[in-house]
Amino acid sequence: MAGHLPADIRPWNVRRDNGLTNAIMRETLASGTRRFSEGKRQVFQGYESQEAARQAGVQAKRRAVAHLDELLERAQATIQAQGGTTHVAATAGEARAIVREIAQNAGVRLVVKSKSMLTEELELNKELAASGMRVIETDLGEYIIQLARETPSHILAPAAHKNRAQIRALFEVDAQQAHLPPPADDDARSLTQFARARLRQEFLAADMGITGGNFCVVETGTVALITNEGNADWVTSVPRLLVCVVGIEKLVETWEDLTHLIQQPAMNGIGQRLSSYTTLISGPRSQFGEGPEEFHVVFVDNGRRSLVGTPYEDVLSCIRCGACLNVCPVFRQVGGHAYGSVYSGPIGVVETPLLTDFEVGAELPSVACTVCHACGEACPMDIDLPGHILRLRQEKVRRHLTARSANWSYGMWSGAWATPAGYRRSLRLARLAQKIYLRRGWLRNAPGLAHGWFITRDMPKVADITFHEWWAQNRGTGAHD
Amino acid sequence: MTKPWAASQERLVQMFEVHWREHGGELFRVREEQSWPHVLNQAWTTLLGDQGGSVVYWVNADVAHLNWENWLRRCGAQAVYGWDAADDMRSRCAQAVLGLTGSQWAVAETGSVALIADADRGLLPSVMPPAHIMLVSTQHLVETVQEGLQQIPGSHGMPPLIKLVTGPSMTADIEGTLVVGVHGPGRVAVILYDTVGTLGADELR
Ligand code: SF4
Repeated sequence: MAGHLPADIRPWNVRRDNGLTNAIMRETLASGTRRFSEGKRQVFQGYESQEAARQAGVQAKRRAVAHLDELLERAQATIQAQGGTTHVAATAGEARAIVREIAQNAGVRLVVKSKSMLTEELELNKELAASGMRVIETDLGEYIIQLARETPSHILAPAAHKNRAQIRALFEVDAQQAHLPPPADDDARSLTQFARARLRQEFLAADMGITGGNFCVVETGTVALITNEGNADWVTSVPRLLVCVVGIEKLVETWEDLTHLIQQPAMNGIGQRLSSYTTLISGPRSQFGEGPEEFHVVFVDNGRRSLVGTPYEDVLSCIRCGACLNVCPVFRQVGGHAYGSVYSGPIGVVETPLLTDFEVGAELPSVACTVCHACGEACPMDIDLPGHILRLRQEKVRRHLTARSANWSYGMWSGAWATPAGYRRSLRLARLAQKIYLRRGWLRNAPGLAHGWFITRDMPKVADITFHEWWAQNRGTGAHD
Repeated sequence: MTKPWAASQERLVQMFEVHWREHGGELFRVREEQSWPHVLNQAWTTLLGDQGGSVVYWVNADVAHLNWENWLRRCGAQAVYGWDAADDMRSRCAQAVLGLTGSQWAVAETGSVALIADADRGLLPSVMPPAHIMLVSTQHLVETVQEGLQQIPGSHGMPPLIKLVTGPSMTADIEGTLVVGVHGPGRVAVILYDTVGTLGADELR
């Protein structure tokens, strides 16, 4: 069954141009993605054991995807045996209802969250807010965009499109409402200090914590959370209720599988051997210990299972490291918002239409990829991103999802070039037709679809004589000896 | 002559030091029990300067006999609370200037320290105060994350809460500028200690 993802209904060219004209975002993303990619290159150098671990991790993820149903059953049994409660949601709507009911039954008024792409996918905050709860994002970047009522522009740097002055302005309004002194200055340190004090109020008052999960280990019933800020540790330790919302593709079978995978997100995403905090939670607090009194894990499908057994199955191995975003020439220019839903960059191009059966992001495979294959090289989980993008393009043609003008143009082109005679004819035609667009020996424009290409580029004119023609005229006349 | 075991342990110590410092963590070493008070003082001064305030702490069994409370007071602590699961622990941790904790094991090749919560050991002292000191026995150094994690699912089943600390709390969410001390401690130190000897009676008081 297809899943649902939130969608920005503005057309691609509007979203794209918004990205291209946002100077702040482009500057932050340019330096951030470069730093991350360079860090990744360095961290693997002289650390061969992690290459072996990566390969073992890929195998573990592939095995898990092939046995999802069985693993899901077993994971639930383990978590329940350790005192946790489990839930399974087939759709986004079900997942929202489950979390809302857990919260309502416990009389929750204030929820603190650590970063989770899945809860963005579910638009969970809206649901809880509609039931009268306050929901606070505690990852600094997420908090900033929550105050701005926006969505993340990069998986790892959600507020990359905001500058310090804008953030200070948001914090000043927030400080007034929270009766706190505003940030002392607009440098990153002062702003972070303000957020520390501000979010501390919420952490201490919260009744419920919500997290995602980077991995979920079947054998031990463990949810693994990886952060650099330490907010997940507040969320898991302080409120009396903890709900981890986990995509079913996050399951891995054994504790050993986890040991191979645990370093991969940080190594590949930001070039660190491990993030500052790795938190492993396997149940509610024991009698005197620390942690939540109630521990819930909500497993969410929302379109994931429909990929099992298809050529796209490996997409479910994604560990959301962000490496493919960091190397993508399209992402680095347009940023995350242009992709129109939760997932951006190459993985977004593939996953958004797949999870929703082309309901959202159907345009992405055609417009947001240059087929440079950088993402395929970067992906630590060996996901065939470039192959999938091409496959999705083919599928769009099969399903008649491409624009009529594009179909017509490409149909003409492929018809013409399918035979040598057709090819020769088309060149003769082009040589004649180009006269309209020639300026000082260069082709400056062209009709139809090709017009867009010429907005920023010129092309040498079609040669007066092609190599084939030259060869036919000169063959055997000593042109080669 | 160094014993082979000691030599390989020393290699791990050096590896740990490189990676722990890489993240901006401070490192101190206690080779004999006599130097604890002095080293603790050094660590305090490095993290907190001459700042005073309250401290929440727990330590591992092998150093539990030492006089932590007294030493911490001499460093500048105005109040010292040993960890227990009492309800007011949370507010004590929230007010403390320093959390001092033991650890389960530490990983040399990543510079990470493992903390496991149970009835006598909470993780809040590692989360809430602005500074955190961790005591790590050199005997509990392992080379890889994998070696460390393999020790965990023991015969008593899974501990509900495990944490690996690999450096200070940090963020680069504002214009990509690295800032430490977002939600967790911005200043972190490890004191690596060797197998215990005996302290003079004076020191223990
Ligand atoms: S597709 Fe690969 S590179 Fe991209 S986020 Fe997922 S795991 Fe990382």
